[in-house]
Amino acid sequence: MSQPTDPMSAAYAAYEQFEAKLSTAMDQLVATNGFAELFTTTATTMMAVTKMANDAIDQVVRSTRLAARQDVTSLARQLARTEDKIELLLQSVEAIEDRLAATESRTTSSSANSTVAAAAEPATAVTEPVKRTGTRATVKRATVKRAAVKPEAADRAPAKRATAERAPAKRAAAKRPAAKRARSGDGL
Amino acid sequence: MTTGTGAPREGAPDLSYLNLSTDPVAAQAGMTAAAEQLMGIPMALLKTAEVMLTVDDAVIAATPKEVVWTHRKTTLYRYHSAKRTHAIPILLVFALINRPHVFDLRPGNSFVEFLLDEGYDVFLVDWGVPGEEDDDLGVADYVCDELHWAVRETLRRSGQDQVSMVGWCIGATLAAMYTAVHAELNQVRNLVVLTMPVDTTGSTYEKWVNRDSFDVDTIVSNGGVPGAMIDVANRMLKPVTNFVTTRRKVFDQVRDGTLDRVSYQSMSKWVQDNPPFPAKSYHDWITWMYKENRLINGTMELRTKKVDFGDIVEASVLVVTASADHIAPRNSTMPFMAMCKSKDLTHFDRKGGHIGLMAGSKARHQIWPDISGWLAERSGSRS
Repeated sequence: MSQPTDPMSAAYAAYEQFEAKLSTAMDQLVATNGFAELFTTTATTMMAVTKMANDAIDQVVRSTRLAARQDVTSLARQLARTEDKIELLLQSVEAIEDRLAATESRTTSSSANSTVAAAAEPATAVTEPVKRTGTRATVKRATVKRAAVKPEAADRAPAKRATAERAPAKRAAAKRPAAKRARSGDGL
Repeated sequence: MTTGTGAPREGAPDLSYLNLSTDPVAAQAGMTAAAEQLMGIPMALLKTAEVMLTVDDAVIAATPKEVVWTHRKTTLYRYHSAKRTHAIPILLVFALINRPHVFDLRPGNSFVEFLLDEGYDVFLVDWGVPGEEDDDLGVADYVCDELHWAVRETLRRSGQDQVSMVGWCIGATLAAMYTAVHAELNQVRNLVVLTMPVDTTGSTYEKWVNRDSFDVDTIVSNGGVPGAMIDVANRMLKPVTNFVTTRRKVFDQVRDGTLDRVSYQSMSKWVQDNPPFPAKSYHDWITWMYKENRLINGTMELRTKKVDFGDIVEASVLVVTASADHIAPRNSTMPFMAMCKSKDLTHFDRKGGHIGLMAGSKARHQIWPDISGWLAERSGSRS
């Protein structure tokens, strides 16, 4: 590296050199046991003192018959736990809705198949292969239809799941084919 | 000032290379130039201060998004996209320290923006700013509840059966633990872990906290650990670099007129935004990862279920390490490669630091296309 030719640059280069050496030395220093002991003792003591101060302030505020920080936190914790329960409840409701929608879908498609089969074949001639073919075709059509509608519907849907605003049951069920619902782990 | 041309006095430094002239005219010109430089210093200092004091004005996390789901302080976002070409959505998971805005740092240099351009359906889980009421949230709660539910909502919203998870730092460890614990659900198609801490043996952090004088119960006795304290600890890993050199370089760049103000301010704003670490999570993280090194010892359990990376078999896994990472060094991540039993395991080792690797100015042309290319082959196409 060429040396600087003016005093200012030379001084600055000397400083940079010093900083680089200091940096290396400090990096080594912070990795020593001595520094670790000092650092962690300081941190632990600082937190302990902070706790003592907070507790003392809380006592003073409580003595004036006002809600102190701990009281407010306790209340907030109760709210958070209530939210936990609501979330679990909502997931359970959604799982039930999904199962209901799946049952409805199966019922509808099987009744439609029966109608198609009854119209196409004499009652005595309804054989297994014909019924299976009809069922497969119907299921395929239904799946294709849902798949075509679903992504756009999902894209357009507003942020209705923000905590309290849940999707109505039918809309949520319509978004997901039965097979996907079953696989997505809605076991709660 | 030494201006003589004679031989230097014995013991005096040799300054001959400075070309200190004896010509009065040249000497005067040199003095004028030096004075000009000196006068420029206060001006540069003022400008540097102005840049640093207006960091809050920087625009970060600006890509349009919608709230999909919230629980406590956790929020799941979905980013608006006009051209989704890949079927499997991406769920971004960041650490419990700092905010996930680094995924969407600033317009023109945003990983989210890049993924949207590449045709992905992008979701992001934001742990928010935990309050004292969230001090009962442990690592198990984040993995088995918050992350599990975020995946559930991602799947519901996208209409897909599987998701690609991209975790970074602690977020990568959480994502990997989630994938292992819920392996039987087979909901994670691809797992991308960026600069993930797994084996903490020998790290500076481990040296600090794995000692009796670091009483983690006392540390969390006052509730969540303040973000500022976490930030100071992180900076203390490289004290001169983080406290001095970074600022001095900004000063240099201001003086030279080469400072990329937007870039510096956006990154600085993100770095300074430090939410508190929830008490129980901090206790779990320090005890399990640093004092007991449970992932390596095979003793990590979440709600009585053992976390075994060997259970990750079906998911494709991409491990990304950074050569100059001092927070989660490469040798801290590498044991994961041996533990994970995925049939499709890839490792990218790139130049860069813990954050710079993904958020630096070169990331857009280096690591992002690599990750996107890897994901594209495994994300199907949207019919």
